Amino acid sequence: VIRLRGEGVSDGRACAPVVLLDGGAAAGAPPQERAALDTASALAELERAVRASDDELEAASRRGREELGADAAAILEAQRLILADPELMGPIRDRIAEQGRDPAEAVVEVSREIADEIARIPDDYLQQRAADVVDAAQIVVGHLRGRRGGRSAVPAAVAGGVIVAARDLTPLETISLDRSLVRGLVTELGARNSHVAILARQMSIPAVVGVDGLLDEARAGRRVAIDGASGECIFDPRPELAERFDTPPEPAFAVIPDVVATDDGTAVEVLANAASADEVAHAVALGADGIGLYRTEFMFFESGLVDEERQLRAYCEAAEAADGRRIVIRTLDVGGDKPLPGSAVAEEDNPFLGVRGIRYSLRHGELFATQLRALARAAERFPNLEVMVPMVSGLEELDATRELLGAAGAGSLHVGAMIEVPSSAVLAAEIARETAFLSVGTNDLTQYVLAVDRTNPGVGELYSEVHPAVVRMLATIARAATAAGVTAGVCGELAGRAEAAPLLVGLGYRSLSVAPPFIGRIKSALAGASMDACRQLAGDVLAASRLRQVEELLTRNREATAP
Amino acid sequence: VTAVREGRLRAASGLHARPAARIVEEASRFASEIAIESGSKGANAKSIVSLLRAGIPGGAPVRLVATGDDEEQAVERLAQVLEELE
Repeated sequence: VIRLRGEGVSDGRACAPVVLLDGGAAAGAPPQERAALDTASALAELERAVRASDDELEAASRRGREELGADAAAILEAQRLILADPELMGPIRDRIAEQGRDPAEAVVEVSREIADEIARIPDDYLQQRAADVVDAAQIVVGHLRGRRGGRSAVPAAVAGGVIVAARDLTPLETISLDRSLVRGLVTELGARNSHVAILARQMSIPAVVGVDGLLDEARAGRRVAIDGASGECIFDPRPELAERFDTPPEPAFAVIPDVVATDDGTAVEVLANAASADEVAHAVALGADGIGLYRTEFMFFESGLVDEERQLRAYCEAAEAADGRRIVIRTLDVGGDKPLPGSAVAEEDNPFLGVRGIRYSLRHGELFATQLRALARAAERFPNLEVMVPMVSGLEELDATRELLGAAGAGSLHVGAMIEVPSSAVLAAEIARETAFLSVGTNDLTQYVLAVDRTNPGVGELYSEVHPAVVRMLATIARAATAAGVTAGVCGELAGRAEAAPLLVGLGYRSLSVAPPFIGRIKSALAGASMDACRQLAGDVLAASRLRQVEELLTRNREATAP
Repeated sequence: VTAVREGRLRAASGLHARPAARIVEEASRFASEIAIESGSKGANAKSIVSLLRAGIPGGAPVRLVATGDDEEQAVERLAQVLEELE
């Protein structure tokens, strides 16, 4: 029995044989034995593989943008540019045409040469960008050698599923994992908020990252048990331990189309996060009671500045897809950390403490007014449409927004505030009195309350949405909303965690907005749940002063209430 | 016949894939040939591989050199983009 430990980044346990995924090694694998191609066929094969790779990246980029945000998509988009670049493709074609090289070999050679050159740059961060070239080239090599992205590298024949082990997984490899087959994933590199971790959570695959020494132990076929909550990673587990970890894959939850209620009849709406009309329709099909967070920035990231008519069309399509259910559209949420293409964003030392969200919108009044007008016009046709303002940090921003709403003839809109800055949590009572609802963005609230940069691997382990200080702040916000008679909701990742749902309900939240795959899980967890038990749990958690105590309370509660 | 503009790469972590992609995207809108030079390094602003190879670090002074019909607009726009990159 060998025990390793990493950072648990996606909840759930699994025990299964290891499958090693390693794009780098595959690149060096000997080419298949076969008759040499003539030059014209070899070039045609290369073009076909590049086109297929681009298609694959484009699809993954669209998915990444929708599910993860623009950052992950930007990396895939950069890889598409690399594959379209004559500085890479020219020398590859030359070697095929003039030296008669095998296409895959030519791609490996040229991309390695470029990567080696980049790796010699005397700057640690830029050196690592060599990986982007290698990753992109690797996709083409994969196609030339007859497999698609990361997916086909997992042998489909392993009964009972596998645990994927890798040094690291690229966004494309992660997004391509077959969820019916991959029971868990574990990587030597990575942190809580690296792409592989975020994707694993979205895909509901238990995951442990940052496991030192993983590749010394991980051998294909060797059994490993992982716990995506604690970060445990146990090779050759004893049978009784294996049995405990070998939980069957989470059952497919039945779609519950109605709003669920706790045992005392309190309704809790389970909404979904979405960014396009298609996603709204998908969420509704999965039983969502509506959309609690409709992100509008992706539309701008894709098309630059979008005029009022196009926005109106997009909002109407989304509201129509919600089919009468509530749909909360978040106004543009951009800033230094996710800049709007084509707009001037001043350089900021701390973009997370800079011009983001409503601050950005208020500094670009024209842009904001256009969006508010489009939203008001859409709401005239679709009364189920509501609006939510991100990054509110004080009442002044609500005053300014109200002024703009009046001027834009949008005074009738239902406007709620996102609570994700500690100052707005402290002022929640006043904010609640002046808005239609409060919706807590737990991801940002957590990073601001704990002063932890979610993207910094050095402090990633300090980030926890159930830290006692965060939970107490959540309680304050819910109390303030309840006292003002408005709904308190949560639209951060915390809302999608099954063990957290009873806590949130116990604290007073009546609206949870989650990633679409989690709708069934959260509805099942809440349907008929004991309200007394939820309140008891909330009281116990609020009395706890250490993170470990909170985690134990949540785990114990989950085990006690599991079917 | 050539437009030149001096500037500085503000992006703190240097010209990595995401900002490089942003430059390529903007540069490709212009007909002119556009080069980004920094010290002894030079890169084709329309090629992400070329930009990654150059490895321009954060804060480095850069020189934009464009040749073609829209050279003035090109250096002006790209100087602006360089300022905006995070």
